[in-house]
Amino acid sequence: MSETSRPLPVPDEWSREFWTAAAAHSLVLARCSRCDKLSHPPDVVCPHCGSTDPAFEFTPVDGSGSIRSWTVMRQSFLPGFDVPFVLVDVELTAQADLRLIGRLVDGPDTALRLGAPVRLAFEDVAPGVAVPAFALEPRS
Amino acid sequence: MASSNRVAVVGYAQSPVARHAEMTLGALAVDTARRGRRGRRPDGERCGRLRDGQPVPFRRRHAAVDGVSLVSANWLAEHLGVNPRYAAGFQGFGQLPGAVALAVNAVVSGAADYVLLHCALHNPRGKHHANPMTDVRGAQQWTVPQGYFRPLAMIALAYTEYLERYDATREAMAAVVVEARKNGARIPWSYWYDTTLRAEEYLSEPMVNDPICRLDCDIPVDAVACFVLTSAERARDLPHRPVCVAGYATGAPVKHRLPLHWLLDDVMAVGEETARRLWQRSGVGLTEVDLPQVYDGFSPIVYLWMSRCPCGPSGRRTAWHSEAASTATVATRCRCSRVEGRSGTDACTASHSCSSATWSWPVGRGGGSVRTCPSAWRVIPLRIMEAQWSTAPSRSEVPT
Repeated sequence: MSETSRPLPVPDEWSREFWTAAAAHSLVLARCSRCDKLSHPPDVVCPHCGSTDPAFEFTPVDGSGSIRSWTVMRQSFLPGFDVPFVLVDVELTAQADLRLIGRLVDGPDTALRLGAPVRLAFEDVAPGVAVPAFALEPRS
Repeated sequence: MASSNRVAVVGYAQSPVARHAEMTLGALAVDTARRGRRGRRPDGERCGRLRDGQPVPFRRRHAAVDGVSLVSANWLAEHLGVNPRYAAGFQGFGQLPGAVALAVNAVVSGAADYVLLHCALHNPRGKHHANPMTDVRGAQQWTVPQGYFRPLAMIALAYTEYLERYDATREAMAAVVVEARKNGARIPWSYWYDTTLRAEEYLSEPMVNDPICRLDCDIPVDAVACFVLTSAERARDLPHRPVCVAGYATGAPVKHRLPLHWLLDDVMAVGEETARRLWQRSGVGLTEVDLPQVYDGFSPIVYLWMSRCPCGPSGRRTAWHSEAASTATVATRCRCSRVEGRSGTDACTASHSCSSATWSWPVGRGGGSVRTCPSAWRVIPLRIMEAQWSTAPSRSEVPT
């Protein structure tokens, strides 16, 4: 793996489990221990049940979903990104209205449509650091 | 609303608008504030100071310095040499409207007799939005490592969804942008004064973040605007024709989202609710509105607000892009589903000559409500700095 100049996440108490799992190409999201709903990103107060003590537990999620929107980034404003690339806004099938934004690994010339199904992918951007991304399902 | 029409704007001043001013922002603000106060009760003791919630330019390794990259209410008071009874900065959605609401409440409550409200915008040198960060902490760690950063991508996602959902086109948006430029070109202190923009130029502009091109964005500038507000009662004795504040309203998305993640449905819902609150509080009816003015720092926002704002024809809350186009080249859709460049009252002239002459506003794939085109409806979006001057009494009263 080549070194990247892309900005790398600095895990904290809210995100450490997320980034540790991502490095192993697994998606885990915060689940409220009170109402059992997923939240991304985790927050001080559970956005679903309002608990101020949600005791989030990070739970494996398969990461499949559908494209709700996209943009082709032709200027990135950040270091280390080769342009153009596509960002997709994905609604995960794991829970209604649960969103994740990531790069589409299929490339910038890919024909897209609202609702197109995608599966989770990962970009290895540095030793021990992987970032969630998406790939179109073959028959989408 | 208890404050309706009890507070008035009685003075204003504007600095030159430049990409990069020759003075620091603070000096520009002091000069502009002095002009704004001239003849409008320059009594520092009775005057409040308010600052709008303008974004601090943190877009690169830029250390924010009060008086240089931003101007706080306290900084301005200190450098004007006054000790106001009340000084505050607005925090929240809405920026200038939010600061106006603070000003109204300060006057109505008696916290201040006069309020000097300022908006100071700074454009640091260098590539706008560029940031050399190599690590990312806090909330941004959820999106920046993927390359999702700054408002252009945020607007682009919402706009893509709008275009796809409502079958809208950039050709229709060209009419909005060209019309906005015409307005900017009419204003002597505008950056765009006496310039023109053709639809072809807009459509040939390279994309930055599809479907957003540079001409969809307001231009970053150094500039300061100041307003003086006081009670409507005091305003009667002042030299300029007062402009009363009939009402204010704010709204903000309430769902927990990723940083800078504006979902189309969230934005449109907020626009609808904010408009409803505004009508309710101001007591102004839809038929009394001659000129709806919406923030268009990014052109697609005009669509996003107006599509749910019940100030369109018949209080309609659906896709708005066809009406936007009616300010220039109309691109409405006839009942026969042929798109024509004609106004809504004209007969359809598509090749098969549909005779219904009833025009619809497309509201999505596979559906649409059929309505007659209200060709008299006219909306004139203005650019951000010019937009603040919609209530200016006349061109002759513009400070020089």
